[in-house]
Amino acid sequence: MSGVYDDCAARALDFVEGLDDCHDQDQVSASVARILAEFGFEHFVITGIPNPNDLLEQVLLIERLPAGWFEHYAGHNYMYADPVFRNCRATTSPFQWEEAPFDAEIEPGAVEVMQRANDFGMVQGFSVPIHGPEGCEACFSMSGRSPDLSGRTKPAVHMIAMYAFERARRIGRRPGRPSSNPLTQREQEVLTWAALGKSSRDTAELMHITERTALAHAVNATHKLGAANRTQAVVRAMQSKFIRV
Amino acid sequence: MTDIHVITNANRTRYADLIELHHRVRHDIFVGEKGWEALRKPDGRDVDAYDDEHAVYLLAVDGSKLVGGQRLYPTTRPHMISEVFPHLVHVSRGIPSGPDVREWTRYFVVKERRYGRTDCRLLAAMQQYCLDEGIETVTAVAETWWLPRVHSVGFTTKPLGLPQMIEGQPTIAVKVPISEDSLASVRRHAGLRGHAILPRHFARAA
Repeated sequence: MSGVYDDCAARALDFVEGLDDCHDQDQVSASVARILAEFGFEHFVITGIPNPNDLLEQVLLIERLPAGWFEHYAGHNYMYADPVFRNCRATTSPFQWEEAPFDAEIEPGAVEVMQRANDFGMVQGFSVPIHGPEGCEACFSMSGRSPDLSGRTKPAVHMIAMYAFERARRIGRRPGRPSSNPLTQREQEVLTWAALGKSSRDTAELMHITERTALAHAVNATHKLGAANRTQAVVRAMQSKFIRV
Repeated sequence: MTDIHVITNANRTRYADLIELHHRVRHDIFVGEKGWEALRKPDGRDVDAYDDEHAVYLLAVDGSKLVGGQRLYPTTRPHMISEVFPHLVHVSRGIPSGPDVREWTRYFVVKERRYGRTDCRLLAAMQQYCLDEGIETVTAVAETWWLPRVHSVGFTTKPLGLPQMIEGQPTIAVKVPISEDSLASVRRHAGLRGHAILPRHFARAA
């Protein structure tokens, strides 16, 4: 790891050169995820700026977000309250999320977005606005629990974001985002029973499996949803409509 | 109709008035608007060490009005990146230089033309001039916000180092490969027809 920090400039420049070898969005996404992880970022999203009647997923370019967050965000129309999104339109310079201004007194929506982001593990973030000839065109946001946002890494991350966006734009948007449910049938069943108040033992009996297997399904589902425990996993699965009760 | 005039040392005397006007417009924009105080001159003309006989100017002129411009300078001589901004170039990359590399500086479009096709005309002219002259690469120092704009019309840029804060703006050194593809793309974006620059024999006669 120290090698990276010895010269994050060289690393970032090599990354930009390597983008020429990325020929689809998945390759760009994997490459970006790899280098951002070195700086402590766990999640990122590259999105266009939707017009008032657009759906957010129509302008989404690449996302590696915590499971359930996009659905939660879109479902609650957070884009209209999100101070980070708003600041992307207002400035051409990259900024840390805490620098995106809002008035907590009169904008409870903004408070909620930032609080929920925090709950999903997006504790600290950094955003790079992309402005084209007609104003703000896109926003590249990255976040994590404790990313390295020192003066040394910010310029590297800024450049990475600009060139990754350009590569993704050039390759073109993937047609239609699969709003896929990450949970297997069995994991959905286990969470559904948990939502109905059943214990692991009850669940095992109802599903004709061992209690140990039931627990394993619950653990897997919890992990996939980025949740801290089974209760939170149930809440996220319901919010994202991965399970219905 | 906006035409792009190429002004070199060979035809410069015929363009004395336009070149003079262009120094004043540059001062208005880079000092007056952008606030680059280091360039401020008491006579209101922006002239630097690279406005010499080696500079080539591509100026956009509409009737009698100068609406935009840019300068190309040989990298075989001391130039801005080598003398003023070498710290913007990472040691692992080195400053691109050679007979087929020019430095691209003092790009501007006057305020009232910033939302039109003048940008594309200037960008197309730069690519066309370089293709005609066998120039393969230009280098530039740019504010980072500007890069997505040139990318969006089909230019490719490669960073030479990380962005650094200059005059309060993140600023980056890049190289720009010259290509038929980039020229075709920027022309398509602006719906430009015909040659991107005024034929020089015609320009000399004008």
